[in-house]
Amino acid sequence: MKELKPINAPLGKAFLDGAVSTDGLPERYGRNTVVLMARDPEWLFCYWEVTDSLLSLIRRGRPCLRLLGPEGVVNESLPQLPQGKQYIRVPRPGRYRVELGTLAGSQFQPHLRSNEVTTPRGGPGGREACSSAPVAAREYDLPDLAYRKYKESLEDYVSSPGMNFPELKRSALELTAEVVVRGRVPEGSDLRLLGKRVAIGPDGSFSLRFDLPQGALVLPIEVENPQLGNIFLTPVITHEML
Amino acid sequence: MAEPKGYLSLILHAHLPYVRHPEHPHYLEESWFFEALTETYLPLLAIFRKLHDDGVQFRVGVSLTPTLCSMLNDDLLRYRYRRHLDSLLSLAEKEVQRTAGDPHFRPVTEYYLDTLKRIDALYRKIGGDVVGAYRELQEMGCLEILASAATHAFLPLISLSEEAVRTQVAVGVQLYQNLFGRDPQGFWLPECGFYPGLDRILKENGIRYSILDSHGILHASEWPKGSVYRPIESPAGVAFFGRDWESSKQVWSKDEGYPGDFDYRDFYRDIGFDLEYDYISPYLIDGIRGHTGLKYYRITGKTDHKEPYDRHRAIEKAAVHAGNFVFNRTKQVEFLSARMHYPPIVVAPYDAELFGHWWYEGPEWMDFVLRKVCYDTEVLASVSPSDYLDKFPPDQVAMPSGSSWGYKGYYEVWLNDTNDWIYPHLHAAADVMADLTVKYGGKNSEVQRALDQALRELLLAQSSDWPFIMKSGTMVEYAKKRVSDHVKRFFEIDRQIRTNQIDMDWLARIEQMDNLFPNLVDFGLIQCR
Repeated sequence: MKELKPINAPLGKAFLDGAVSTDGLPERYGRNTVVLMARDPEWLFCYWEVTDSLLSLIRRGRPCLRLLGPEGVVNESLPQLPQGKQYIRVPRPGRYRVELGTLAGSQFQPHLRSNEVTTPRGGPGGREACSSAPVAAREYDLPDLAYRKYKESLEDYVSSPGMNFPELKRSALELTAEVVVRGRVPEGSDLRLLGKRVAIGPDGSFSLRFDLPQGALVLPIEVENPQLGNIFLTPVITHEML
Repeated sequence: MAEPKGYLSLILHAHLPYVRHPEHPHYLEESWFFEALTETYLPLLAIFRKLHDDGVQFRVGVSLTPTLCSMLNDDLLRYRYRRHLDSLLSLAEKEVQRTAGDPHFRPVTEYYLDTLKRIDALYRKIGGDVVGAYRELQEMGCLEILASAATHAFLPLISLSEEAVRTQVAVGVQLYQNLFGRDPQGFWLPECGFYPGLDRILKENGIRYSILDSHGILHASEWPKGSVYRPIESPAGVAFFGRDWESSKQVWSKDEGYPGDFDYRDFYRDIGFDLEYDYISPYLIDGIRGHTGLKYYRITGKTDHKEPYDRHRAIEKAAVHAGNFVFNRTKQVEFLSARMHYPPIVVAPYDAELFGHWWYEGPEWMDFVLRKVCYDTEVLASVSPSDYLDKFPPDQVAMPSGSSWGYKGYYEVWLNDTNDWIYPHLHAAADVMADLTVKYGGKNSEVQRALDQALRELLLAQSSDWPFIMKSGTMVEYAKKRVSDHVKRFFEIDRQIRTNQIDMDWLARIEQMDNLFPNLVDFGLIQCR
């Protein structure tokens, strides 16, 4: 492998000669470089620049930008030259690098190698690594449960809906009140109130607090239990001025 | 009093990019700073001082970023803020007269005049020294102030050069030491942006803890035993706390969060847009319609029809929401403490500017929450993260996952089609800065001045605010210009140093323009370490 330039090669002649874009920023820095950046667990960003001398070398074959992962070549593409950028999707989180080079037949000749990057993890780390810790098994209940709740929160989870209630009508006197709804469900139940999932305590209890303006507060409750079946209730709580 | 079952740690992240334009008498973007001072930093200060005076026991974490502190301490910006506040007071007085016979709006205009007079009195009382007033609250044991990166760079995306990250962290820490007279315990990572290895640089700078978004902890190298309700320790020995998503959602969520309540003040209806142009134009920047800060309507509903703002009603709602928040945290802590060997900590970080600027009643909500936590519940107490670490040090070592608190949870907000063009420039400049420092550091005072200014330009170009603004789509041209200007100035200094042709007059001019960290020379050559 030859001419694998370090990524922090000093500025070359192109910049000092004034190769700048219209807004005054350098278009190129006159160096041979390819840089890889991790954006998220699934995507990388890559940019590169080659000097005229390397460009002529690369163009003797078919230019190729090659992504390498833990299991070898992941992706090959035709790079724009002498400079360019590309977002590259990766099959799984891990450690990656790219090489910019030339394809001659099936032979790849690398000329530039990027830095290596590790994508952020897209899910929980290994549980097995934790097994050496002398902790009670029940401690694992919390991360399991909490993680499930976290994932639900990314959808439409709230522990207590409590805002943006119907407006009060303006009058000489306005009163409001609060109501606390408490209850209990059997183990394994899934409880929804106003269509949203409700946090249930370890003993199956739940407790929610609502603003209760004048008028009726309708609270459709749905309980799903794999053993006991489903229950639907719709309590209506009225705050009435006599 | 019995030990609480768990703890609540509220963290306010106060940050603005360094915006200061001496070249223009009125610069639109400086109003970000003036509005935040009037609506957030001073109201929060007033509330924290009142809580202390009332004997309320509370602890809140506040990160004051180096760019914000530098703006708060800058003489020109202090002068301009004084001018801005005087103008606003004058407008508020005029508004009280204009609405004298209007039963709907007179109470609102009187409220604004009264509030602005109190803000003005506070600003005069502290002699304009906002940083000093926050420092005092830290010394009184009410606040724990966190350090942050020099110019709020999104560190994962400049980590190609470890020296660039190290400089951002070290300058931030040293500025903190200068301003607050002590070592920071905590470090606010800009945008909660983390990558494995950053913990080592934090540790080198004496940092004890930082805060990540939930999945930074939940996706750590090991399954976190205490979920996000207990910190983990990174391999380098820094504690990391995870953001609690429930408390976050109740405040942040656009649809379900408290700030969207119909009784709260509407942010968008401002007299800068509503009133006759000839009347309002003297109070507009360059005569261009924009926000004055005087907003007379409540959100009312998902409708263009807006009703007058009723301050009493809004404050009552803030009290209801504070009750709801504390109630939910109490239930949460009861739930969690039954499953954990140690009392859980619920870490709730927010952008400070949400409180007062975006959510006008946010400071009062904070006031109610802290009073309720102090007096109405024995289940939880407010702490700073370091208070918690003192009592319950982490007992699990794991490397947090790369993450941020931005949209989608990773780095995409700061790396996408709208802003990816900045990175070749930032990376090239960081490499050149390291090279310049090695080759020319300590040569003579003129070169040193040029090197210091080159570092300022690089730091300013690295602010995460610029790519964020480019992505958000408003004020994009300003953000582009800032990156472009700082990069160009940087490379011009580079050229002048290398060719031994330093133009001292020009250098003095840009030192005045970009005067961030005037004592940078005292920091030494961090790049050389």
